[in-house]
Amino acid sequence: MFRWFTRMPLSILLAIALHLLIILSVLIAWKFNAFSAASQSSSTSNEPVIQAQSVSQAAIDQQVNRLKHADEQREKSLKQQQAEAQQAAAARRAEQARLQQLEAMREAKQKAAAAQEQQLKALQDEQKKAQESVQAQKQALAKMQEEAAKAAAEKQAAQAAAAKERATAAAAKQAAAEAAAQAEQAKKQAAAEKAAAEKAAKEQAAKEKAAKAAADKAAKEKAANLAAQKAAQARKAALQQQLQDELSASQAQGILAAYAAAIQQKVTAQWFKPPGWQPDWTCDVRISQAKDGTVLNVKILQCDGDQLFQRSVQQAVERASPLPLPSDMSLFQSTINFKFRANTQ
Amino acid sequence: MKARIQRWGLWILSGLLFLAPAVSQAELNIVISGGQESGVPIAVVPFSTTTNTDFASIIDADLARSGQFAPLTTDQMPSQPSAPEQVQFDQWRTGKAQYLVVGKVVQQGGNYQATFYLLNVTNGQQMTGRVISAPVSAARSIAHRIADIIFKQITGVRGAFDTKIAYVTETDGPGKKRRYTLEVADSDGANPQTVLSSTFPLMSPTWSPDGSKLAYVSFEGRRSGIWVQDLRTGQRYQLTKFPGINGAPSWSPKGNKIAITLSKYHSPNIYVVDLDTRNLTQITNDGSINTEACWLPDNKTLVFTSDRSGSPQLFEKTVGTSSAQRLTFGLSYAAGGAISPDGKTLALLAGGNGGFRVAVQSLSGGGSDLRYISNGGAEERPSFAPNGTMLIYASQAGGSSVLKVSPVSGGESQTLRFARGKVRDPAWGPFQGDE
Repeated sequence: MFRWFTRMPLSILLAIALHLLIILSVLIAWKFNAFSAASQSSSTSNEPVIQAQSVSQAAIDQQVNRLKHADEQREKSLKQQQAEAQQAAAARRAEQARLQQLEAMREAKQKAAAAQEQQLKALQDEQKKAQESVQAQKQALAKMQEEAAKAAAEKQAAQAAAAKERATAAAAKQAAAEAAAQAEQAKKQAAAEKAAAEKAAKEQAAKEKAAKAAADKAAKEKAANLAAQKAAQARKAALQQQLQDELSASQAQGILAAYAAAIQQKVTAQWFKPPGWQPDWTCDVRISQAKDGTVLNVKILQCDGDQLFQRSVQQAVERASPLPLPSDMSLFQSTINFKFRANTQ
Repeated sequence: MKARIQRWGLWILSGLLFLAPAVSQAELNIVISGGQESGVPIAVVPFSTTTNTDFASIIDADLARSGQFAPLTTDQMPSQPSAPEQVQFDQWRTGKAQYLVVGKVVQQGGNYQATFYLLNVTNGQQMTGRVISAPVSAARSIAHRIADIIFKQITGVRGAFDTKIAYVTETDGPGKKRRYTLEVADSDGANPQTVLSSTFPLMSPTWSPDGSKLAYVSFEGRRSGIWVQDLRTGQRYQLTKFPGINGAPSWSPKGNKIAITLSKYHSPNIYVVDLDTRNLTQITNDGSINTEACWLPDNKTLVFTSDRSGSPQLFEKTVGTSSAQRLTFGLSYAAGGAISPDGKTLALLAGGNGGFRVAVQSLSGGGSDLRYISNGGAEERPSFAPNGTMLIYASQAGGSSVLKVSPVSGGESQTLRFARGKVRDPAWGPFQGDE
């Protein structure tokens, strides 16, 4: 290869130059082409685009409907929200009301508790006072005893001093010892007396307390008994009233039924239905009557058939006058409604 | 009766159930069912009169014939007052009568003057009081007019007692020669007047709506023809003389046409003759028998008998239309149709196992509400009273033929009495004058 190069360098150079030239020209041509293609495509993309889409009326309507529907939906949901809000508000109000109620109840409870506490406190105060008075009495007693013992001791001491003066120191000592023993005894006695007094006071208080409790309990029981008795009596009375009512109602019904039947019989007997009546003919009549059963007014409300049929109905009621009376005049009816049916069925 | 009482009991019971919760309420509700079917009890007290006409009995018979009244006999009356001030209502209230008619008739020259009162026994009120005058010769007419007033007052429907009927008689004359007469009489058959007498058969009279003329079939000249006769003057003329049958004329409600049956050598068909132009219009045109036409109030629709469906049945056809509607069903024979003046009811001659009987049905009901009106079994074509409450028809019995009147509402038929022979083909005339 190299040899080949070296053998004919000019031709090789020429060949290379030619090749280069060809390659260059090809490259230039391609570039130009590429440029022109690019400019072409850019020019088409720069043109204004009108997208003429034919939209049908139906589609518009549909759209409008959709929008409307959406509006409605929105409105609906809004309404729903409002309703929900209202409901929530109502619920809140109800809850508030309930809370207020609870609060009121709690306050009432507290008030009641406070009142109870006050009562308890008053009671305690009273007890305390009583205890205090007992204490005061006991103190006074102890003081008196002490003073007595002191006086006695002083006397003894004076005596002892005199004896001392008169006798020996031993004797004085003994006397002092004796006096001390006496004082001790007096002290002991005072303590015993004090204990007794305390015990008595305690017993007294206990007794009083028991008596009070018993009295309270008795009062309570009495009240409960009274209430129970009262309730029982009320129940009994109510039962009796009910029985009485039922009895008189059934009696009234019986009398009323007999009353209605008597009227029905008398009017039916006076109904002369002229030929030509039809089975489905009916006639509604409203009458008013005097206390002696005299028919005062006959009003035909609704009536099928011809004039003859209507007249026959009116005549039937009028001819049945005076209408029968009930056995109990408190059940007398001043107005009666009749329904005449041409058919017997 | 027992079942009825039981039913009442049930009503009382059901009434009670209804009442139970209403004891304290101010009103009582009572059901009255059934009652008794009865004509209206009415007492027509014999009128105080020096005449020899018994007005009260004529009124009684008229009211009874309608089927809607039950007049009391004189022995059921506690007294016979002739003026309202003479009536002691307490006396009457214990009896059956709901209504009371009292009156008197005096003669003033050639006239009778009747004064009458209709009283409601139950409440003591006077319902009407009228004075009616008429020539002595029309004494019965006074009674019929009073009956009409009473009927209208109580039923609300115009009375049709003071009307006329036309009919044909057939008697055996001397030498066994048959005599036929065309007669006009009061609606109760009284006062018959011969309009025409013939040795040839007379048939099918029909009234002009104003009551002044009659059209009828006469066989004088030994062939049938339709004739029209003025009742006041007696003048007559022949309307048709076609070959074959000239029959069954029926005057139209407006009076300007007469429907007839003509055969013209073929099968009989219905035609209408215009009385002003004498034009002839053919209504039916087929090979079956079509006859006995009658008019609806519209003056253009006809009901007729045809055997086009095999047996004779009634059909309806409006002039100028092409098709006819069948009106009767469920009968093997239906013929002789007549239409009530209000156009709602069809009366007919129904044939079957019970013979030929008069029946009624609603015109458009297809026969579903068919009711039999007569029960003789040998009846002929009926004719309505102008107020539609009664039907008149011929009925054969024992080789004779009489006229009977039946209430359309149902009830007993009454036989009209006539002096002469066989009576047939009755046609009830129109109201006379104004109400």
